[in-house]
Amino acid sequence: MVTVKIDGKEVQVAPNTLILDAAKEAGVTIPTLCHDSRLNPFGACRVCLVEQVNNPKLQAACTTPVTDKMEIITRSEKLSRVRKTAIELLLINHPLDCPVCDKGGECTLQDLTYEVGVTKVRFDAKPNDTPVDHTNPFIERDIDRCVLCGRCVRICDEVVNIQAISFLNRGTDTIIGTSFEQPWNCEYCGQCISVCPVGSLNNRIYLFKNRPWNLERVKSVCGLCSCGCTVDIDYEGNEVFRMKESPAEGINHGYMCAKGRFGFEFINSIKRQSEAVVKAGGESKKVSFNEAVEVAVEKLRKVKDTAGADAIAVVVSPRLTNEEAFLAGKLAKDVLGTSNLFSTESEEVYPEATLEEVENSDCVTVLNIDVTESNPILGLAVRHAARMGSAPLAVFYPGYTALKRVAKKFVTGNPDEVRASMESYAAAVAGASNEYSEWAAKLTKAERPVVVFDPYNKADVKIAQDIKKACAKVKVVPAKSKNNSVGIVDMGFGAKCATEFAKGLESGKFKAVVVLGENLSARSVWTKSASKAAGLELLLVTDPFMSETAAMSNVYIPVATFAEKSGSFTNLEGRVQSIEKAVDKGVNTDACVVSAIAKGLGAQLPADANAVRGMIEKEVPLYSGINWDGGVVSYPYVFAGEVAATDGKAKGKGRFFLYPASLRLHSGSFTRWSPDLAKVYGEPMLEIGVEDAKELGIKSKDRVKVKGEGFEGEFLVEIEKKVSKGCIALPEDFVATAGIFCNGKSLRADIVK
Amino acid sequence: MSYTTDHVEVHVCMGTAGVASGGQEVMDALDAEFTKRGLKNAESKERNCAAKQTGCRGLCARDVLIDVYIPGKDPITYEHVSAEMVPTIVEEHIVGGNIVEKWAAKADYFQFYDKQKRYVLADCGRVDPESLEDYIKLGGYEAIKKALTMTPEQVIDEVKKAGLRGRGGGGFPTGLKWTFCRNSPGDHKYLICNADEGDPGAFMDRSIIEGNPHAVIEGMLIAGYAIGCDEGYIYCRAEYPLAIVRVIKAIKDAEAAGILGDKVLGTNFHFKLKLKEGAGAFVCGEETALIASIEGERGMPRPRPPFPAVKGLWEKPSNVNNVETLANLPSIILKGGEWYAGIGTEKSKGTKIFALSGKVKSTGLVEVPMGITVRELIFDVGGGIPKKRKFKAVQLGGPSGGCLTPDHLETPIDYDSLIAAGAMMGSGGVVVMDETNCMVNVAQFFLTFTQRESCGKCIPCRIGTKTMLDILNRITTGQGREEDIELLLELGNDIKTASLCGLGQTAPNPVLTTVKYFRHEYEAHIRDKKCPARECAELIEFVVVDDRCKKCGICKKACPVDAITWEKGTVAYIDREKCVKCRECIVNCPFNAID
Repeated sequence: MVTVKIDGKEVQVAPNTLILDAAKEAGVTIPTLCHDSRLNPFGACRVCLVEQVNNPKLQAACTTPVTDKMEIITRSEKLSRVRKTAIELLLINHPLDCPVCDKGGECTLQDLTYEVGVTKVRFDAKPNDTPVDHTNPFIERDIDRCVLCGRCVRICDEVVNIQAISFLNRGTDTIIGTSFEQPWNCEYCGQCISVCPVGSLNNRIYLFKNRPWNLERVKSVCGLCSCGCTVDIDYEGNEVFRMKESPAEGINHGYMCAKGRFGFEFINSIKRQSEAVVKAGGESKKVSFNEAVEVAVEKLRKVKDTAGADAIAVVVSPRLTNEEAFLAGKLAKDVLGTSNLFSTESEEVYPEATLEEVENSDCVTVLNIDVTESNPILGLAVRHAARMGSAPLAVFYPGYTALKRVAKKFVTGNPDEVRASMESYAAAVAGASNEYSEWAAKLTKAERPVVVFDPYNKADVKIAQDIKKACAKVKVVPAKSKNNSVGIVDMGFGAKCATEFAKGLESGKFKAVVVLGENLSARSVWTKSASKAAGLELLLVTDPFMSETAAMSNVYIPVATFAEKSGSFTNLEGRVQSIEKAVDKGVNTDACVVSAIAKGLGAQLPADANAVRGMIEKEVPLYSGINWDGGVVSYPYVFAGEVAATDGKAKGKGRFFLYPASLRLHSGSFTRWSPDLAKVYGEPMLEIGVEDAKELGIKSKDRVKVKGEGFEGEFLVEIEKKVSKGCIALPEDFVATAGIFCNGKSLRADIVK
Repeated sequence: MSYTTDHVEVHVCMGTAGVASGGQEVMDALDAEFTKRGLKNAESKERNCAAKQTGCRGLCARDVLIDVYIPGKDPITYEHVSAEMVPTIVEEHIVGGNIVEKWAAKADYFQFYDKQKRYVLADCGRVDPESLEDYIKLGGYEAIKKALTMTPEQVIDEVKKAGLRGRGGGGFPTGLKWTFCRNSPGDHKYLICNADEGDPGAFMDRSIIEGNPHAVIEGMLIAGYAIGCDEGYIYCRAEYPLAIVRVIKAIKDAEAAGILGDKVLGTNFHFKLKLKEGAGAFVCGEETALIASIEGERGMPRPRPPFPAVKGLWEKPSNVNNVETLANLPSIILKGGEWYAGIGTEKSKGTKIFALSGKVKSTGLVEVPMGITVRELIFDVGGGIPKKRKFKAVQLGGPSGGCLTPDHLETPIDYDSLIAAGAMMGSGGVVVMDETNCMVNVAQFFLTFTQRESCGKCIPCRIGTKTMLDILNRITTGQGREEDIELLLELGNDIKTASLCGLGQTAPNPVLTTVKYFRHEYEAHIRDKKCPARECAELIEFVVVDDRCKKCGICKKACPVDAITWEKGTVAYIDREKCVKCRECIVNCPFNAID
């Protein structure tokens, strides 16, 4: 530790602490503009200059580390003058359109102008006047307002590693732009917007919709994938206006992805349902919540009385909160008396490594998953390890992914080849001598190795387990897909195999099915049997939207999304995090539905999340004493048992290998109701490589038929450089594609024009 | 300083200035003449004549310069040589033994060298820059051989003893800089030669590289050995094509001879050397921007600390030295630090190369001992101001240096005295100004350069220099305001205090020093809307003053747009409707008759 004196206050800080951080320790705030603690020191704006006693040169607090006995002065006449000059200079060219600037009210330049007290600029104003750039669907770019702090450039490079933007030109001509002024080629993560201190990069979803001082804010957790990012939900009345990063907070360190940042609009969608629907005798009738519950209760009672409790099944979606899933389990087991609890998740694999462990890993392997799109924040953690920590990264995937830039080894090929490579790699980790021995050695020699894999692909799970068995220090990350994929299993919805539900539907075993938030038609494991649910005595479906499954139901109850309820999600690390209710759309939560049904059946189940947590802590040992605001569940093991060897070979015949594509901004469920995401990616697209497309004479946006054994479908074509020759890919979770991947994860198919 | 040959050798200046003046034609003509006359006979001493290309010998104003070496005789230098003159020189001098006096250099040529001490440039102009053998013949690579018998610490001590300071401008003690990098932990260290010489009018490094590339390589080997670097880069600006070609050849030849690469000269010292071309940014002469540029990043300075010695190129410990600094090393090693410390002043040792330009008779490259006065440099070495005009000011240290006045003529040229006077050593640019130079215009000229070359990273430099320039522009066009001088001073000082790198920290210097020493000129521009030196076209009325006009008519001839009417015996008249304010009349009028 070294001792430094800042404005007369003495503090002890670690050596190499930046003056800025040491000042924070001392309770002294130094103004900054270009600084972001998550990025490498840059020192461009000179606003944070401070005086060091006995040093005639001013020091930039954001780049200069302290030395022992250093004495720093952060406020002086000289410093005020220099800071004021810097701000005055910025205001020469900055258009003073604050009244109509989206950043007004939360603009660092405004704040600094106020703070340093610039009331008059000594220099002649020459406001910039360049047309605003709208080529990016999510990001508005107004270079006139840019102060060239470089935060967008740096975050895009250092964190996202896409390098979509850079400084162009020199001196006063310097602007932020793309190479050769091409349109932005990026992931639309919007990290650049989040760090822009002025109104130069704006969120187009929010543009001109509100003023920040009108908005109220709750801190919550994003409900769109299993990363569990801490976010701020900004709302006015009952409308959500923004989902934005909680600066530098949460496991996501204030980073977000396109889905989280721009995909929240489904919450406000006019297509949301507000009334329950009951179908009888082929007629649909809008009814009140209570009436719908009454009908459902009646039917449940009838089925239980006539066919027995085993004829009842409860299916929950991994979108539910822990509390809701727990209640659903209680309803099934204790009230209805059935053990038929189903979900798409299984208890085969449990979380192990935390995101922090991924970030700090010294060797990362990613098995057959495009993690930058399936779980973007986990993707950032992998990139961080590979780039900042220079951990060797090996990726196995049938096509190139964004990790190509940082991967030291990227193994592609058709899915069968990739599988064979992964198997060889696993064998090499176990000691076999083959072409992957050198890479396996990197893993076995590493101190903190991490393996990321797709827990929904049986063959991959087997490989991950083999690696873990051969090298115990490996920590695995099963990249679960939905916000509470992990939590619902903990609440008891992973014990039974999902296929058993399909069989039950097919065989007619189930007479009454309660589906909480799930869309059977869009899940490959159930899509084939989903139509059977239409004829059941009771098909109760809760969903914010009239999904395909909801449309088949005879009792439909609209329910709340994650922004409208409180509770908790358990993320892919096994971290339990609370969500906060922001708005009320006038519909009930799944918890209310369950509670009301229980009440109708003569049982008492609380709908209030806090009351439910008490029950969970008592009844679910893993959650006993858990910290609901970030506690990590300690699972006794990662793999529940020996994973059976599966034949991972592509099934069927055909010229092409067909595999599930990366999720493109969304997974075809909630987010397809978000118009701006839909503008960019509205329907499942068939990805095909350049060469194959040329051979077949296919162009982008052509509509072609994909045909394989037992499936057929028509899709728009997207020609992608990254797709390997002889391969095609389709996203998995759309209704139109679930029927394809129900045949297997890796298939053969032909393209018929 | 003697150079002897066993045959007739004609050295032709083939530096950039030499080539531009027709050096290659002279070489070809000599060769053709020798062939024609059968003078390329290796058997005979007298009849074995060769034309040899050499680098710049300094007095570029008189190129093409050639030296004729005849065994047993003093070498003779000819000035302004063209291909047509070659047969005469060969006929009368080489064959006939009679010096062609009318073309031979006279006393004023030698006066240029009188006060110079040419150590770094000693072989520039004698050695064939494209020949490794020639360099070795002149004692090349002896210094590294000697250094390799010493320990690295001994080498550093020798350099410390010599008191060598960085010649790139900063003047940081070289030995100390090396020690930082040597002591910095790391198994792989880089040595970078900064040859991104970008100051307008400066060509010191250019001439060294073009004239004696092996000396730079040898210097790098010595530095690399002392610091513990195993890889080096020469970062040379792309605008120096000849330097680049010669460095690449020199590296290749040295590699082939086992001087570069694995096991340098058979020892266990390994040193790989690469050339990296700059991309035209002045700021890349700043060491952190230079490092970023080598890495393929945008050439923008990075904050220090971490200093390059700790975290430089590719985040490895790196040491950046200027070309001239490195070129000093061979003689320090060969002759010893004490010998070197005997030259110069107490705190500034050795010699310094300057590029003399502007209103001085002998423009060119000079190497003088530290401590020489400004007067000696301009008047003795440079030959004074041409056209019998008065010396007004000298800009020392390039665009970021400062202007000194006749009051400073006795200032000794060393790092500390110059800074005390408000200028700086810089890399060695010397721009001399006479009474026809407007100091506001001079400041504007230099600031235009630095402003344009600002990388755009930090606010004070990016917007501040532009704002200062805008103010200067309005002053020189008659739009100046009363508060402008104060505004320039306030802003200039803030830019100096707050900028990130040396570019911004020094960019306001020309303005600040000209305001300091020539405030009245600024005031004349602002208050009287007059340019006393009649350089700012917007402030000139373009009228002929009757009583000064000697009715010579020179102005009429000079005017490119026929705006002047004049007949013999009459005062000239300028038609201001036609006049395009090009100032040709003012420049050419010998009597200052146009206001």
